[in-house]
This record gives sequence, C-alpha cells and structure tokens, in this order.
Amino acid sequence: MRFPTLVLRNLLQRPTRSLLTIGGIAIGVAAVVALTGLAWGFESTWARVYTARGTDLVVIKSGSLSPVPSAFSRDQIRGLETLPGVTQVACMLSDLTSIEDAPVVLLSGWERQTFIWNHLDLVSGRWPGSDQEREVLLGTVAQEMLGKGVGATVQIESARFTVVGIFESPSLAENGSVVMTLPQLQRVLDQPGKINFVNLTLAPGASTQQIADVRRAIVERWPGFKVFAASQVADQSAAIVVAQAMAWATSSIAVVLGAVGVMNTVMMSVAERVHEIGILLALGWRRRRVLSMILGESLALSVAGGATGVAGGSAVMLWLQHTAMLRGKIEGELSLSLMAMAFAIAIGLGIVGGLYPAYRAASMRPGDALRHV
Amino acid sequence: MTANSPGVITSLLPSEPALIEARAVRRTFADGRVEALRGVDLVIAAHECVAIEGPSGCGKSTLLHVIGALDAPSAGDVSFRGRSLSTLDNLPAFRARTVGFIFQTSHLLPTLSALENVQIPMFEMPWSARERTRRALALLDSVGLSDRLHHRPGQLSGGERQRVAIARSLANGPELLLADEPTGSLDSDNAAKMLALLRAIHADRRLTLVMVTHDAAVASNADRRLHMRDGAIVADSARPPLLEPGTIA
Repeated sequence: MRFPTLVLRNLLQRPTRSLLTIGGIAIGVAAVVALTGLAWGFESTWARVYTARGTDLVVIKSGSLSPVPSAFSRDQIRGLETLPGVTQVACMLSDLTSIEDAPVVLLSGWERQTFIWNHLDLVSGRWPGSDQEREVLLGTVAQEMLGKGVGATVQIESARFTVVGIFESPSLAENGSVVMTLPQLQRVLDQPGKINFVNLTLAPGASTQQIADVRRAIVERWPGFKVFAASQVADQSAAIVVAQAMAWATSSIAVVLGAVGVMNTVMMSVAERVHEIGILLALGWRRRRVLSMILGESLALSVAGGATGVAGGSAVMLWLQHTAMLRGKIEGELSLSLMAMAFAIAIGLGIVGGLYPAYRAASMRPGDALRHV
Repeated sequence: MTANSPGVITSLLPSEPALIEARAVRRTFADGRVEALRGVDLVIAAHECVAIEGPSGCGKSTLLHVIGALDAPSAGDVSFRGRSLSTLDNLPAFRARTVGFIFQTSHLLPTLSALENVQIPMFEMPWSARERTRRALALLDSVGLSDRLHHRPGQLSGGERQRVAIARSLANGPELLLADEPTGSLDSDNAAKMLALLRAIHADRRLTLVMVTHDAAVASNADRRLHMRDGAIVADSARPPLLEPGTIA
C-alpha cells in the first residue's frame, strides 16, 4: 500500500461529504472559469472590433462613464484629417439598443466611402445605396437573432428599415450588429451631426514615436478628447471595466465560500477521527506524516473539485455565450492560462482549507487523542 | 519506597537487565484535580511477561501510556534501557521502532484491508511498498490470517480483528509489546486463543510483554503480576509485600 492510497481511502470513508465538498469547490472554480472567461472574452471581442477594421487610433470624448462613449458634434474635431501622420479618418455613431425580439444589439452608423467598410465581407445582398435611404446591413449573427433576410424590414426605434445585405466580419461583436449609414443612425437616435467614435489610420509602418506624436497632437489641439490605440479601447470601456470588476467580485466570493467549505469538511473529518489519529500517533507516526495525510485529503478534494470546476465552468461559459442575451456580443475566452489559474485557485483552496485542520490533527498528544471517545 | 506510594516498590529480577524503569511517576489530569498515578516506582526487565491488573480507573492504562511514551508524566521519570524518555529527541521514532501497541478494541482503519492495516506503522520505516507488503504478509501468516488478507475489519470476527491488531503491533519488530485489555472485547474462547498467541509471540520473539487487564484470570497467564489500586502499585508477585498484612487493603 502506498501513502496516497490511504489518503483516498480516508475520503471514501465519507463519500457523501467528500462529494459535497468536491461539488462546493467545483462551483467556486466553475464560477471563476465562466465569469473570468466571459470577462476576458468580452474585452478581447470588443478589442477585435477595432483591430478588424484596420483602425490604428480611436478618438472619443473624455469623461464618459457610460458603456457607449458620449456623442459629440462632428465639427468639434474638424481638421483631424489634416494632422501630420494621419492618413484616413472615419467617423461613426454607435449605441446599444433593443431591436424587435433581440434584447440588446449593437447599432452602428458609419460614414460612407470610408475605410471601416473595407473589412466587411458581403455574404448576400448589396451595400446601402445612399445616405438618404432607410437601409441596413445585418451581421450574420444579427440575422440569426432577428430572423431576417435580405428584403425584410426591421423596426428600429420609430423607423422601419429595409435589410439590403448580410455581412460577415472577423469580429464576433460586429457580426451581431446592425450597420447603417451615419446620417440614418443620427436621424434614428435624434442626434443630428453627432458621432461618438473617430477611427484613424496612420501611415503604414509608423514608429512608436510617430504614433505618440499624433496622440499628443490630438490631445493638445482638442482638449476634452482621449486617444487610444485600437487594442486599448476595450480597456477604457466602462462596460468592460464594470464587467471585469463584477466577474472578479463574484469569483472571489465563490472562492472564499469554497475555502470555507473545504476547511469545514476537513475540520469535521479531523474532529470525528481524533481517536483514529491518536492510534496513528501511538503506532509511531510522526506529526509531519499526520499533517501530510490530512493535507493530502484536502488537496485530493481540491484537485477533484478543480478538475470538475474547470470542466463545468467551461461548459457553462460555452452555453452562456450562446444564450440570447450574450450571442453575438461576447465570445468567451477559454485559454490554457485561465484553466491553469482556476486549477491553481483550487489547489490554493485545498492548502488554505486544509492547513489549519491538519495542524490541529498533527498537534494532538497521542495520549489525549486516545482518551477521546 | 516513596512517601506517596502506599504499596510496594517493584524491582527487576536480579538476572535480567532493566528495560523500563519508572521512578516516582505521577500523572494528573484536569489541572491537577484528578491524580491517575501517585508516585509509581516500577522496574521491568527485558523479556519479562508482566500483567498489570486492577479495577477500572486504578490508573493501569495511564501507566501503560506513560511507559509507551504516549503520555508524559506530570512528575517523576520513565527511562528505557537507562535513558530517560524525556530526553529523547524523537518520541514518534521511539514508538515506531521500539514499542508495539495492542488496544482493547482493535482500532483498525475501517477502509483498509487486513494486509493494509498491518502496513500502517511501516510507513515510518525506510521500506519500499513491496517490502512493506512482504512483511505484512509474513506477519498475517504468523497469526493465522493468511486467508483473510483482503478482508476489511467489518468483514472479520472480533478475534480475527484482534489478531490483525497483534500483527500490526509487531510490524516494525518492537522490543516492547504493550497490550491494553487485549481480551476485553472477546468471548472466553477467543480470549484464551489470544492469550496463547501473545505468549507464543513473547516466547518466539523474546520481546517484553506488558499487558493491562482487570481480569485476574487473564493476569494469571503472565509470569509476573502487578496489582494497582488508586494510582499506585500495591502488590508485585515478583517480590513479597513490604508492608504488614492488612495495610494494603
């Protein structure tokens, strides 16, 4: 018989309690995997929106705390296209809104004849004909959510639009969006002349110094605006920051509950086995071996709970991202580093939860433990 | 004799070296309110077979625990082969390599088979898993349980469980075997077999056997009988009482 066999047999002695503890740890770890995976996915999904468009820098109004940046007049940033180093400028207005049966959809109005249309792949239909027509394009996921095809009409706020095309984008978030020309969205949202994002491209191969110079020039010339690299925009989103904070807080609570669960189980196990531990000490076991046994039991519970939690959390995350609320907006990020982090948390739970009971067990005096009934 | 010892001072047989020597051993519990041992003096020679008998609560199990380094005396000293147990750096190692314990109920681990239970003390020895198994098989064979190797305690009779416990107590080749009411949970038939087995082990292995019992019939199997009352040894069959007749009672 090997030592780990003894550890496992001890856990099998109380199968229901061991299973419940594994379940408790698994729930905590699953919460970490699912929530963190969605939060990380949220961030990367939205970061990909900008990188997919070929945008180098994004200009938004500073001080905005809402999920979508505040709108401002196009005239406020007039002259941006003439800045040295800037090659293209594309303005857009975006909002999150409910359209027909779809709970939340990203609605975007883009300036016609600008580079931000270039990355879209038209799957069927055609591009919007002019700024005057009430026409929209649906991303492939939005098409599924709304159940509309080319030629159908869709009610957006108080206006009815005709679906003229279906597009595919490298960005999942864009695939779940509805796109129209900028003037049309300004009319729908009753924000004439307003935009909330400016996409800039810089000269190919621009150096870090040149990029920094452009950013500084924009901030100096147009105070009240912020400039970010496309890959950093997601970090600045209030919605993403809040989502990450919520994921962190919820995961932390789940993890703390998991640790309490482990400690409770191992403490009860030790309390019930005082006499048995006394026997082991009487038979000559060193305190370190008793400590190893109890800690080993705690770790075994954690490993089982961690593995179950990682698998369960991954499944929950995959399911969640296909629900009506999240489909087309978040693509969960199930990376090896996330799984390793969640598993490490489980191991941490085992150590934290098992250390004190193991210390208590190892500190018993054999004579006292043997007298315990 | 110490002032607090109402009985006799027991001493080793002249021909045998001292294995255990207890001097003025006291053990109190509950912050001194309960005095389990009251100045016990005792010498046990190597290879002796000793029974400590007395009524329940007289302190005989406490004395056994103190001798086996499971418990430390509140006062006085216990030495093994002339070395005080209080000076030993590694009491667990002393218990693991020198002492074998048998308890009233077998106290086997319920989730382990007989073969696995016997290996429990062996984890403290530098033996491989294969070596542990080999030794455990031999021990179980020696107590007549080679056909019960993979049975768990719940699948064994009371007598068989105690035989597994005996095999476990011998796991690391102890010099000293301490048995606390070894027949206490057995019927008379199994108790007789158990005592015969203990005597055979004592003879074959030339170890020192100290058993605690409240049963005079069990104690009569030992070569030497110590009688305890109220935390003190009041009679020792190895030597005549020092007090006048009637003062012990």
